[in-house]
Amino acid sequence: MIAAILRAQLLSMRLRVGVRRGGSIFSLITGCIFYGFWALLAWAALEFFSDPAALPQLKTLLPAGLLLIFAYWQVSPVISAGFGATLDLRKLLAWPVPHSKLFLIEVLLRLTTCAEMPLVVAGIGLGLLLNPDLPATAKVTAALGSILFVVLNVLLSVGVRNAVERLFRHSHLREFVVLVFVLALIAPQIAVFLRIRFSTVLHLVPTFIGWPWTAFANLLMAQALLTSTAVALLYLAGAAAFSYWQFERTIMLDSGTGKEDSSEARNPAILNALFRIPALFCGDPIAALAEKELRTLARVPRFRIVYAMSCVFGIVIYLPTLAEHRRTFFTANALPIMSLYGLLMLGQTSYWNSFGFDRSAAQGYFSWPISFRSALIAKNLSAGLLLIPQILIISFFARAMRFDVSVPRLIETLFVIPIAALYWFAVGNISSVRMPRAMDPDKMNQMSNKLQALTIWSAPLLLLPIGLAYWARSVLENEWVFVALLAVAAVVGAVFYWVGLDSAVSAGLRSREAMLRELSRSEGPLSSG
Amino acid sequence: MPDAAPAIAVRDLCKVYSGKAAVDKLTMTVPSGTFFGFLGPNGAGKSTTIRMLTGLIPPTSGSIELFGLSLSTDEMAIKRRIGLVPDDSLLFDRLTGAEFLEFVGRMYTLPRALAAQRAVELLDLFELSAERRKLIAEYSKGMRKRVAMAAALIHRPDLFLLDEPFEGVDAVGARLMKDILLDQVRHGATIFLTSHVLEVVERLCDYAAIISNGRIVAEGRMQDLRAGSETLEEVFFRTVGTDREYEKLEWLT
Repeated sequence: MIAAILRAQLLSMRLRVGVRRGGSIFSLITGCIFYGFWALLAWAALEFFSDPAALPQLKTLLPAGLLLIFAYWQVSPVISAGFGATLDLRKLLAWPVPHSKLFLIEVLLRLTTCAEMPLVVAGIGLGLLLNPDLPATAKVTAALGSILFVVLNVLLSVGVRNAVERLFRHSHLREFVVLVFVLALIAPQIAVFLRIRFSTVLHLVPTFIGWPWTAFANLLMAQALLTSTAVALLYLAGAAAFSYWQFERTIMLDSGTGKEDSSEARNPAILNALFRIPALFCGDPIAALAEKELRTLARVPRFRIVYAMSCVFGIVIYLPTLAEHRRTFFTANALPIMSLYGLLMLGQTSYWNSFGFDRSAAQGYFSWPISFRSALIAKNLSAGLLLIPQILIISFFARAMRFDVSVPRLIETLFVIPIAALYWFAVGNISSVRMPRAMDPDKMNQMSNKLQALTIWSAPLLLLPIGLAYWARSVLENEWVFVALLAVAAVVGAVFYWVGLDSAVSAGLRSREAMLRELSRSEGPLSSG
Repeated sequence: MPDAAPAIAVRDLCKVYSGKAAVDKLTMTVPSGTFFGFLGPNGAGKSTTIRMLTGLIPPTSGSIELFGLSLSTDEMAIKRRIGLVPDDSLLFDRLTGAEFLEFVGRMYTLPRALAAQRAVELLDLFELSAERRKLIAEYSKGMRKRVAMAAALIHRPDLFLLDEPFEGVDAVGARLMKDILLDQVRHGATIFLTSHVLEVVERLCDYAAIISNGRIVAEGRMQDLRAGSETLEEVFFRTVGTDREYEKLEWLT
């Protein structure tokens, strides 16, 4: 039965790979770089933990390291909105598949969430196993403990994923849940901001053996063997029970026995007025299309969450610089850089795959009496309009946190970000027609990893013209040079955008059939991450 | 008044996928002001034909003329005169029914106020007023078809291309949709309808064509097709053929 489900998924994936070979090669290269980095880290861990000289530090470092892995494993999928592959229970529940078998597949699939962490754990385990100064029993416990630690995290991530996915379906809780996780992410930044030293942080990691990371650290080193084994097994049993309980609750919801929030549009007058802004400066069909886009995005939970994150994360990243009183390039240009980060974050739910939420309705752009160019311009226009409140929100919070946010800096940012957006929208339009993929507005996991990689890859090239203007200002200390180079970047950006738009329009018209087929496609029994 | 030129005239229309013809040298004329039924078994090429007529997919070869205009050169002028209900959803799930209808009206160049007014009237007509604030994502299949039909009507088109419009619609809704469509024909519009419910086609349509394996196997006025006392169902099975493959499966019989 399990084999049949996995085979059905493989067959669905085979069809998809056939359609987008370019996308698959891109994923492969990105995957090699990403996992190559983690493999290097695992190798470094192996080197460190196998060194007898490191033994005195192990008692402190190992629980701290395991705590970091534990936190990364459970929190990062929520933060990055990428849970990896998961079972599509709505499809599978129609068949008489025992829940226990579905649960087993779900547990195995959780290895796709943070697949880099087992690598690091393996590096640590192998390092301890090879450490000649550890007792002989540590050879067995290091191997066994590493496996059990992976199992604990995998089981727990089943529970966390199911709990979070269910919470996201309740419209009023989604943003709150994300805020809690954002606060969790901010913790290290706040530590730096408050000038808490690393050694102090290490001492703050509870050394009480009742904590899972301490128990597993002891087990790995064959210390307090009986107690650490008992505590580790207790946590494993607890994680298994928690994850199965959460999995069953999701099944109840998906089978319709649970209650889900109904989606009713409640637009306050002010929001309606905001949606109608495009009509103030352009006519139909672009105004109507942009208005539709704004209404849609405002009602897509996934977009709302990413938008909220894009308004906050730039500031979070900058928090450590507040502790420094030195004026650097990065502190002097904090607001534009924070806003740029916001623009890049919006990509995954808007311009990289702009037809994703339209799904099969995208056929309207080809069957209504409008040009396909209008549809793309309207999508860019709505994404561009969303940047203005984003910059204002970032400015407000940044100012409250005492970053360098003056009115001239705000005006500069309001000019710079739309210029930067021209470059990103140009490439985004091409990727939207060449690599379209239907996206479920309620799911948090689809495609985010690939789009994040696309953003990172294209950033150096696309930021070059604007980066050049800032670099010149910083080196020459001349505002006029900056303005002139920014003007050049704007002109080049406009040409780049127009060429990109032309290319996207002709590609879209040429391959509209494949594009619509891809956007109408439903996934296999698993939803990929 | 009906146009002098036929509403639809296709000549030697072909659509080939991986060497296999989904539509094979299709030649067909749909007179203006008629209710035309386009029938055929699953995979016969009905939806592919409708998609080519709307410009959603380009034909491999052949010509398409609507109201005497060529689809390849007068695409926009033609699209303005078409009302479409496709088999795949053409609905934006995160809009309410009223918002979607107003949006579609504006796509067909109606002023916002007029589109909004017609949207409200159409929602009343299709008994969806109570669901006005609900997102389309929350609509049942039948309700989605009703909204799709309302969207096809909002700009008062001359030609309706309807792919299984009654699928999933309850008896009351289907009756309402049929009455509206018949009224549109009386006022000069042309309906091009695909449906698997042969009784519906038999009752509504004055012309019909049967397609099988991408080719037209029968075409003409309804009374001519049903020569003698044959029903449309009998004509359909005679031209398309039936098989009783299930009798070979011993475990099923």
